[in-house]
Amino acid sequence: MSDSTPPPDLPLVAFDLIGVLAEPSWREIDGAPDRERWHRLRAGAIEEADFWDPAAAAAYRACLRLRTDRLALVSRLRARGHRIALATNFARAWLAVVREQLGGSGLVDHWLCSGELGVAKPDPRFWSHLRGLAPAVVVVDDQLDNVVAARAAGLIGVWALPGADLEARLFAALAGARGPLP
Amino acid sequence: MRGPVDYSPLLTELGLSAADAAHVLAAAAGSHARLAELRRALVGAVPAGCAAFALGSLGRHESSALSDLDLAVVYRRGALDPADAHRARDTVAAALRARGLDVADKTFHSAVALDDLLGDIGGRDDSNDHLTYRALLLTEGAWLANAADAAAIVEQVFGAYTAGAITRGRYLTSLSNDLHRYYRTICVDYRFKVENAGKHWAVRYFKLRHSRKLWHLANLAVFCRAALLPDEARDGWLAEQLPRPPLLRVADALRPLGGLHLCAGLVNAYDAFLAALAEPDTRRALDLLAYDLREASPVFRRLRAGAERFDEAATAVVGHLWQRSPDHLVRYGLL
Repeated sequence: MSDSTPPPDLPLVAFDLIGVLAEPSWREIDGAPDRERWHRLRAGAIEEADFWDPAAAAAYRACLRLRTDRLALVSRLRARGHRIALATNFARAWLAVVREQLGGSGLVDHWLCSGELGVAKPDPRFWSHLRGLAPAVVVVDDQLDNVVAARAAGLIGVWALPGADLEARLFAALAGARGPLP
Repeated sequence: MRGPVDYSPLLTELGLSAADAAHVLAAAAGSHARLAELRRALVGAVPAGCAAFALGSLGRHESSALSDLDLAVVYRRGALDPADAHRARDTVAAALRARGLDVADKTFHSAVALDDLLGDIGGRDDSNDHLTYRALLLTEGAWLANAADAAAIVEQVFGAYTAGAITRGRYLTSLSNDLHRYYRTICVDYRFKVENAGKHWAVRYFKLRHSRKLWHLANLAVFCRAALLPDEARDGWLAEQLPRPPLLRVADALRPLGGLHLCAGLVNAYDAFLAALAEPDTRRALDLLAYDLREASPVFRRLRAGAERFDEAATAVVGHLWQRSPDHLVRYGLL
């Protein structure tokens, strides 16, 4: 194996989107969020037009932004040879915005969106999609329930809390997953 | 806070009804609706490398229609030209004023560089304004424009304390000391504003005796609770707690310490305070109230009685912390 070829057994790193790689949540621009309707949208059971009005839909697309500091972290992981997944409870209609902002960066290898899969975190069926992608998967999520559920499903969970040093804790988890990092 | 603040589980735990906290609930719902509306209106108002925040009562989700808005625009030097950041601040302020909001030009009169807020904490160039920004971004900063940069900025502020290799303290006392320092600063600031700058005294006085004191109490309670957590869990818990509204912070700290019931008195007294601040006649009476005539004012006497009830409730909370986390309260909160 050459120096530039990553070891094949490096864990896949699966990032949550809102609260980890991007902001904001739809709830932050909706004056009266309807959680029940959201649960249907995120599972692909309804379309966005049944969720909120066109003005809200346009405003959310305009607000939605990837975090440059977190994209830099993803780039560093890729440089180490990790494959990257996006594992998100998200409406499929909004994914195009994220794809457009990522452009041709090629940062994300696998896209797991609840709106496309028809099942949302923390449902074990969501994690089974991830487990099929790699022998070892590290899940980075800002929702503790999802981290706990991922661990219960045999994945490695890292809780991404605002302010806590995510990069240090992620690399510690990766080191624990396969020994010292290269 | 992602969505509207949900006080209902706490009220149920305390055996209180929605009517017991009607003004707390109304302020939370109204604040969330106002934030959502403003965020939609301010889409694209600031460039990348810059974020706009609402601080103060709106950021705490405790605002009423009468509340002013403390606008903070923070930018990264190197990512954005300062002149562009200042223009963005003017644009946002103008857009907010056009919607009828009272945007004060005091501490937050211009855009501020994040590097300046974090580069000299505790040093000779660390001003009251910088302290104010740090404390409020961490504890009551709600983004208004550019949520992605806003989240990264708040994380960097928190990280400035956790990253202190020598001075952070096992219990992150570098941060708790800065928050305590801010509280004492605004208490002294009251003296300057009223005695020297000729500002109205009454509203400031009652804010000190309610919202400011609750903010401080919440910080004390959260850090006392955090001190009892395993070391590896502490920073994360603090980062999660500090942006929450003060009543919820006190409750989350007291619950595992067996003192949750003590929050009922705080909720009752605070609800009465928010009710008063949401009444135009009360605000007007306070704005016109001469200090020497205060005892003749029914509004003053009513609010002072409420402040005394709030003090009783807060004292009971401190007494409980004294019993359950005495080491931290004495060594780090007092001494």
